[in-house]
Amino acid sequence: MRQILTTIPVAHLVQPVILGAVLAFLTANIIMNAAVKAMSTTVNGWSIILKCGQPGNGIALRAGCAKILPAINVAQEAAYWTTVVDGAGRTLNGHRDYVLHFPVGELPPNEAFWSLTITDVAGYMVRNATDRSTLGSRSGLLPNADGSIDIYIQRTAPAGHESNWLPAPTGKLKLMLRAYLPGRAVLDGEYHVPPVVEVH
Amino acid sequence: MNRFILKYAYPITFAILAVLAWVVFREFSVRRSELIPFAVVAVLVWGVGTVVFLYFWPAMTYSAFKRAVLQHGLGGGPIPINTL
Repeated sequence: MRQILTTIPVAHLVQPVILGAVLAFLTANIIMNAAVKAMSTTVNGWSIILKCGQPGNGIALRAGCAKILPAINVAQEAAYWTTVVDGAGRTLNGHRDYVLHFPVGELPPNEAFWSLTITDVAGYMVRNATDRSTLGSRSGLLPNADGSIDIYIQRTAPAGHESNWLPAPTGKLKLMLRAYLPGRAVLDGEYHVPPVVEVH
Repeated sequence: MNRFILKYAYPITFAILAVLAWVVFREFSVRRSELIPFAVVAVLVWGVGTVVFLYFWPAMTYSAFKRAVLQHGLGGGPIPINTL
């Protein structure tokens, strides 16, 4: 190795070092994404990973968890579901209207609270007229006559349902549902978030 | 800038790789005899760097978040949401 390195001037090492570093960065990202994907469970378009924050995860999953959800809690503290697609597998887009329907008794089981946050596809909140990017158990959601709850995800306020409206940004979007101190059904993988349904 | 990078990760990645490919092509056009040392160093840095990135990624992420929170506060700003 030393013989190889001494055959070329140090200045000529800059390019291979930069090339190697860039490839290392990209490879690390690929490995992190693969590790997270392998440990994720996706139902109705919603993905959840319950293994983050646990000892013995290995550096790939540990890094992957830090990448997708920095400072993520362990599952016993909080469960996180994310989706960028509706129930039919189509990419969520602010140009379309959606409803997230929670039948009676199927809100995210928790012993603290739950919330649904909307962001752009990169995970950043987008300003809107109502300055609202999240709805949840503390938002005063109005139930339907049968006790179920609909959350309207669209750009314009749904007439008569403003309190259940989550303003959507333009373009692609991401939804994140959290349940703090999630119930046993979440931890056991028995609870599934209902699909996001496009409204025509 | 962070949002831009996250939103256009793939085009940016391809652009960077294209620039690197052009640099490597130019390098070899001029100094063809240095192909092996070049490849050895690049592969070495690639392998070691991958492990280093994976190992230190959480620390790098938290450090960046801590700095952003201290400078800009929480919510409504440049910080991806995780704690609402």
